[in-house]
Amino acid sequence: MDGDKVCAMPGAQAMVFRSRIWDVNQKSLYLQNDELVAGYLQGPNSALEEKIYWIPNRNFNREKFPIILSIKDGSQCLACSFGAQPVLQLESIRISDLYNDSKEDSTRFTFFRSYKNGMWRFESASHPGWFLCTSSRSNEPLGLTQNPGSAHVIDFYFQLL
Amino acid sequence: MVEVGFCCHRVSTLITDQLANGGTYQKKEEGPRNIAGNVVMSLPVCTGSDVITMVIPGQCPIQGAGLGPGLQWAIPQLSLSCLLRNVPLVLYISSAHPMGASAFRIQRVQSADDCQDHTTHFRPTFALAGEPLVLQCPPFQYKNMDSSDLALNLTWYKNGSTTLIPAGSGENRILSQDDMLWFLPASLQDSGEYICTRRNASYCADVSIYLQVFDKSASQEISFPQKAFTRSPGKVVCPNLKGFVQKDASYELKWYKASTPLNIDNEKFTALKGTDYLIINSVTSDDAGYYTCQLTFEHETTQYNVTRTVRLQTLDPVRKSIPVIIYPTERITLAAMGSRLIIPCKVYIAASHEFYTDVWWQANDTDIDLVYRKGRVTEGKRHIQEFNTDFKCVATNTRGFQVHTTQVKRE
Repeated sequence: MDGDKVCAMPGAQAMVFRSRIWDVNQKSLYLQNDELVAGYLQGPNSALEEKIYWIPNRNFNREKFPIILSIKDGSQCLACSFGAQPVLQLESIRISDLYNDSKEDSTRFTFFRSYKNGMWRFESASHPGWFLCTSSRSNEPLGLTQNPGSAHVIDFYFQLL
Repeated sequence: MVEVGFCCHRVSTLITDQLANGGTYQKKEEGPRNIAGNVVMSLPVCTGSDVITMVIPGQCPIQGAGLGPGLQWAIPQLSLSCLLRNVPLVLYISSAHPMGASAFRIQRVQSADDCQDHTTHFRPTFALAGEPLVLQCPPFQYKNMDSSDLALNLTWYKNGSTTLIPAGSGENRILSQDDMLWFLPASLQDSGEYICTRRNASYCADVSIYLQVFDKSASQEISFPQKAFTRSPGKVVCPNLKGFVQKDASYELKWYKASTPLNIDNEKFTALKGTDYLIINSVTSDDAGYYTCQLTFEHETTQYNVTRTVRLQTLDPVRKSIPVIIYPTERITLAAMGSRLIIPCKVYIAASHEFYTDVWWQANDTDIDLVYRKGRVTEGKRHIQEFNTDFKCVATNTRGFQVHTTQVKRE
């Protein structure tokens, strides 16, 4: 699939957007043991909130708002593991490197963003039907679910910074 | 001189040194080892029931990975019951003797709390004096093993104190229960570093948690920031009630805004029994501010108030309008052969943020860069032109209302 990597503008620079994400229960995201978890940050701890850096993925139909999500200034990207039961992972890859990747290489880093009632959902491009989710409990990792509900919260607010 | 082989599974450190009898030593990191010669080893932790087994050399008593039942040694024909409890040891094998006559001495070298794994919890805990407080020993993962899978004893102590915090209930104001440390209630003097230690015979991990207790007047300083968008329902969540909400209890929170009790009238505010949140049915910018939720918690015969303060920030929702392509308007663009042609695509996005609008060209339903791989046709960069002033013509009478917006553009 090398051919897909050829772009009209090789090495084109992505415009990286910075956002804040929190779930419908007001849980924000932070790192704990190298895992992205959702919970409540108190007082000075709120500085630990991870901002989300993201770019659109041009390889996918733009009407589905395909985006690649990352933290730490775009140095660690959210990815879905391979296999039928995907696991959300943080991978040390620069989001700008993914910008020029082929569709095949960037699929597991891609989420389709959909908007409803003021909230966003993020559906895995590699695993349709699986959504980014938080646990209903605090301090638990951001994950993926195909069974949204009160235990797995998939509705997020998204504020462009 | 007989060579003695030692097996040690998951030793934290093998200290190397030169012994008086000329034996040689090697420094090793943790992991299974089988070393011949005179060795000084640092044992992790022994408990009263552990036995340091000494057997014929060359056989490692524990095989495979994982924590296993704990550390064991292999030395000829001798068993030694571990004498010290919860103390890391250094076992000196001073020399290798004929079978059955190993000589050794045991020496305590480091404090009892020197675990293999020491971490500091990444965030401090803040609390108010006079309120009950729970610290939870953070779960840890060791080589993909979950701490909950291991039979590890958990103890708590405060740094600087020589005694463990007692377990169970009773008269004590501070007590530990499973992986929780309870303060009933917390006081300003409780600020400091608390260390929870998980250990078994072969493994020990401790975590430091910093606690800072504030005076009641400082509740805003340690508030939880939350956000709500105006013109839609908003949720204010009373966070971190774990430990205080008893199972199945239909608990009820009291809500205050800047210390005034909220009128939960189900019109402006809704708060249901057994839920930890307040709904603001339609948020306005006036709803920003400090909210305090209060839960009554009973322990033994004493009632406590648990409060959390939330700083609610209101955000205006993103204004969106349908993008309108204002150029090109004609289906056909005329061009001369061989000449350079630029076709702008101009889009009017009104007050929407540019970020929510994507604009692109396609050739026969495929993106330009995929069709013209050699770059004969390229998509240009996006330019944003700001026209900040909306001129609005408004007409109204008793029958209706109409608005038309226009903007002034440079020619």
